[in-house]
Amino acid sequence: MDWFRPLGIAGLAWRSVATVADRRSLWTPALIVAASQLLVLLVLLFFHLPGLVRVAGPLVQLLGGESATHYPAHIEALPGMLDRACLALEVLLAWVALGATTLRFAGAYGVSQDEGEWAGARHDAVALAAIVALGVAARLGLSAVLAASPVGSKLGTWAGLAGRMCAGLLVQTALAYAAAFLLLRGASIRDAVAGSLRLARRNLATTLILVAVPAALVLPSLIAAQLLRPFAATHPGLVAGVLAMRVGLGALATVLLVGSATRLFLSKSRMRR
Amino acid sequence: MRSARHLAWAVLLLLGCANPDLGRRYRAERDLLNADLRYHALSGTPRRPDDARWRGLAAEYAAIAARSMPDADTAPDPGSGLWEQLQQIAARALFTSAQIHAALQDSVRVDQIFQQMATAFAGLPEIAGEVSLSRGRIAEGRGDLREAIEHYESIVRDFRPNPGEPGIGGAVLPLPLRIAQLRARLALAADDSSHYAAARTYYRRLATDMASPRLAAEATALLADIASELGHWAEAARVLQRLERQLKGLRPRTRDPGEARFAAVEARLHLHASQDSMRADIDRLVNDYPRHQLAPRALLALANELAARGRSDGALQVLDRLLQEYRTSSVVPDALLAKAQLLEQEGRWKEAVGAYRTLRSGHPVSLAALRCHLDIADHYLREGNDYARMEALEQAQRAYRDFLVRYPENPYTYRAWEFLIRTLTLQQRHGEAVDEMLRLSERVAGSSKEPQLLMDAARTAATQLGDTSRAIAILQQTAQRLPQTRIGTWSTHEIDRLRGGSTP
Repeated sequence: MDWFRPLGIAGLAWRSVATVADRRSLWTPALIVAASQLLVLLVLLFFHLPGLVRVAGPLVQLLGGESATHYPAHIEALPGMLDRACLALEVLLAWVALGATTLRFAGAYGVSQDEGEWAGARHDAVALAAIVALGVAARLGLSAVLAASPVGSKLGTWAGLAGRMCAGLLVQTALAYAAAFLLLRGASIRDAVAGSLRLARRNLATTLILVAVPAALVLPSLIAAQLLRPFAATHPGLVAGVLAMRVGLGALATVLLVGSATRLFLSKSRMRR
Repeated sequence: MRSARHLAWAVLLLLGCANPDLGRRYRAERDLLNADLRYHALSGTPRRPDDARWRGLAAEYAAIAARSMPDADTAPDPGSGLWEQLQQIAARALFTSAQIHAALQDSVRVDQIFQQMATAFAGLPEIAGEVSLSRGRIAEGRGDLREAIEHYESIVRDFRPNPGEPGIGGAVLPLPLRIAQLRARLALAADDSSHYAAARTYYRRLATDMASPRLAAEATALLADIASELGHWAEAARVLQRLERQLKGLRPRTRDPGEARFAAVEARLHLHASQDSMRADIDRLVNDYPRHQLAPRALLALANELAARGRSDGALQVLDRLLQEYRTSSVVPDALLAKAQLLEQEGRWKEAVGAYRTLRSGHPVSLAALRCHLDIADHYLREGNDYARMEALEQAQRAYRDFLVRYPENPYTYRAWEFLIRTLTLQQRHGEAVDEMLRLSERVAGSSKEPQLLMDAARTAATQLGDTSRAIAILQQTAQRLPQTRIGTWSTHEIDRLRGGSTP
């Protein structure tokens, strides 16, 4: 497969993102999501405080089991708990950020809101939330298959992480353009998913690159969180710091992915001012 | 929107049902772990940390316990288990605090802590039992045997033995024997079996408990210990045979049945049975457990017994069998030394030298190889051959120095150094002997061997070398190095006496 052309196209998409990256409005939705994730992290980290334990205690039990309410198992379980909480946030909140960022990037690239078929905002919101939920479900299902490993083995932990990453990459590649189809072309859920799959298939290498590079930004923090598990008892602050860094990098990766996918969508669908 | 708000409140209300002690337990676990990390860090430092740091850590543990104890006016929530977990954490913290104070020899504070625990954890039998056990051990260490017996008896009375399990249940079974031993010590009658009657009754009852084969086996083992302690070798042998059978049927095995058989054979050796029956016993043992690590030890024990009875030929045969069939066993050096010594006693010196040579070349890093140098010198002393003796001592001296250079950190290094000092003394090289005693005392500084070495060095300097000033210098060094000890005080007195003209 020829990777140079797709790399070039991806590079052009990223250049477009860089050109408009100084606009604060493009970052705001992702930063709001990141702020909520950080808030969740703080709540999980400090669940034991007298003012917080009544509410946060059951949350920790729900996300990490009874063992996660003990120290230092709590710190070891923190990455997993944050993952689960962020999944829930994704379904509840991240779709809003996705939609807002997509629209703002489209505007920044010169697409007028008068063009295209705009359905009512409520319809877009429900449909977008449904697509995000679909993506999360697909990721979970695929992770379960790819990440199956003997319980407790060290290799299994890394295999699980690799499996989850692969699942995430596959699902994001398939649905990379769904939001754009939905919001910028006013497609239905089915058409948006089908359109995204079609566009991704036709530009497979480019889409893979657009998805993989932002994911690679987050990868070091994922690996660091795993490597730090044996040190959870002696360096809990380090684990929390790595997770906070992951949240920040996640916001950056989201903006990069949405901006570049929207750019590619626009160039392929020839929607210009 | 309104329904979403209602839903959110409902969720928060449901979530707000957590027990606040959950957070307290978490903080207690965190604080306890951090304190444990500091404990290990202090324990692992090469130089002993000062007492103030240990006291600070003990206070920290006590503070953790105070924070962990559930409020007296808070009703416990039995369903959650948090109450008990918090008490366990508090007990653990207080135990460690008491341990530290005990190491600092602050018995007043230790007693205070245990009194506090006895009151605070009266409702938790397990913890109360652990407190009793610790108090018993501390009382025993202090020499208060009656108090120790009292505590141990309360544990035996209140708890069922559960060998191998963590907690107080795992510590109960050996206690009746310990009580018997302490009673015998109090009565200054170690051989009086009447002190062991209660323990025997206790263990006999458990040894026939078919419901718990593991407990039965452990109780049988303790019955064998009692019989051995009292020198009732026939009973010990019988009980150990029964133990072997019990252990063979146990899954998983908690003890080695081969060891039980070996102990039974050793017990029968004490019965002064005939040579034939002893050999038959050992032969059966070696045949039944040919690959067992104790099989060569059994052969060595038989050889030693035969040698002690003057049956040198029989002993040599057994040693040859051992050396033939168990070439790689760890007892081979001891067997070679025993063989060499027997051959020397029989007047077969050339063969003895051969055995010594095989020992030194094949097993240079062994206690037996270190001893054989002095054995050779002793042989020449008995023969009246002074020249050969001095040659042998000179060879021994070189061999020990060579060993110390090659193996400065070996488990046998200390013994090699002791042998060197003895050799130098036999060679009348007292000045060098004193130097080596002082060097060795520095090497073992802080151990129980240090005072003896310093005393011997001072004594040798004064009596053998006639060098009073050197003896005084050594005693001054001793008083400096061991200031608040008996030996330090003794040294100070001895300095005065030497200055007055006497010898230590």
